[in-house]
Amino acid sequence: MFDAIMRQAADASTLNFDALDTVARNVSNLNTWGYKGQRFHMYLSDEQTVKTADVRDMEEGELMLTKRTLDVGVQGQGFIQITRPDGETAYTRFGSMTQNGDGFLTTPFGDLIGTGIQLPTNYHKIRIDRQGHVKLMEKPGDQYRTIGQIPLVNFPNPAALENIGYNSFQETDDSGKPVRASEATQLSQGYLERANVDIHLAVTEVLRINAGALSNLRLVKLIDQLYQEAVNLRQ
Amino acid sequence: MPLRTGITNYVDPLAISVGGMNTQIKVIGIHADNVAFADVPGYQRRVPVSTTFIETLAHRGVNEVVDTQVGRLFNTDQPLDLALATEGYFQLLQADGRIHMTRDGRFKLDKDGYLLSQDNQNVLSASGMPIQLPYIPDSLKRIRVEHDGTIRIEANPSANQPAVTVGKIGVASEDGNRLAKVDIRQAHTEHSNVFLHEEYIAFAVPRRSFQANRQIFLLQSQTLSKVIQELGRTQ
Repeated sequence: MFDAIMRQAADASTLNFDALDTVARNVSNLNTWGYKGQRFHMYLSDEQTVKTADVRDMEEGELMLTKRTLDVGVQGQGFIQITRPDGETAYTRFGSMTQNGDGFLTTPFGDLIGTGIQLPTNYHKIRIDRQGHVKLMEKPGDQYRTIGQIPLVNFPNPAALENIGYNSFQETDDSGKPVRASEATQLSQGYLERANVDIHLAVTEVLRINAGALSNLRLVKLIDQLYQEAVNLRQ
Repeated sequence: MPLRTGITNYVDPLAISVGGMNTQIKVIGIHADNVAFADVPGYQRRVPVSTTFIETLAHRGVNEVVDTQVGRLFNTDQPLDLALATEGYFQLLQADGRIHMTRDGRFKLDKDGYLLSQDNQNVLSASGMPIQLPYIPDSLKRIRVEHDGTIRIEANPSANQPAVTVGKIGVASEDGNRLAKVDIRQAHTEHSNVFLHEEYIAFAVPRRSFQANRQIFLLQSQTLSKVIQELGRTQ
């Protein structure tokens, strides 16, 4: 009886610390471009025990002006398809692009954008339109020429995508197959997407979780006192 | 203790004291449950009920009733977080075909458009069928849930997605009957109806009662040992 109550209080305070861990991870990624926050869900199972789930919040973060020509922010639900150095396909919303030694557009981590969009060494201006077409002006006064398109895809259930690090995701059975994004998904050149973490929410959550952890630990102390009194019945 | 039939039910007074202590621990255990689950959305606090008759005959006879008062509602900005502002329960279909009732309305969609609980159980509609969306809108914000539980998807012409009315979320009373008058709030979560300070105040009475029983036990024990030691002793 005593052990059951004590164990439950201890378990509950462990969950409180797990919840704090999730909040801390969100807050520490407040300035990570394209980061998707996580929510720590506690729920009662059928057996009246507490279970937990980490749910990724796929809402859009706000776009921030960077004025860099090779930065693109994704507006609306959708992902930029990339090819990782090992040949696997992955998906990201982090649109800060650079070039590798061969002139291909890549992410800062060396993943090719799409299956490879090669830029010539000499050009005057580059423009990326809302549908992801990469257009070049070779000499001042020339017409823009399309040399490729940044592929935008969408998933039936993006919350189930697996986070593989480097700001990118991989498809899973639960996420469904990628489909071409509709016109509702657009790119904005010169912008990047900020993390979708709400710092005010994080602060109120910390306060709430803290109260929960303290009360659970206090409960352990209270039960311990009763336990002691029950054991010392013989005087 | 004389019973109504005139028969005297003799119970060892030491056992009564220990039984009383047990009863109080049971009561404390119920309040401890409330403290441990205070942070679980949709949890309803339990209130211990004990009667002197049950307490005397069987010290394990403490009962608990569920406090059905609606907990505090929080805005979460997540379109699939639903909260009941009236009494009642959402119905979930378990894998074995039984129906599980919960007030925790934090739902999610799978890739086929089924509305699921955190535990991957289907949410049932008012007609008792699993709720399935005909398609998944490109933004979850396009899903609207009316106060009466009707789910609609708003049209998005740029993504070629029409407006549809999906169905109504089923809400049942404690005994499984369908409730006609409900108030469902979208983008809200109901926190448990536990108030931590109230639980800690509630600890005070069973705690003192436990100590009182313990004192009586010690008193009887001392008297008994005195009797045993001094009986038959001549000066």
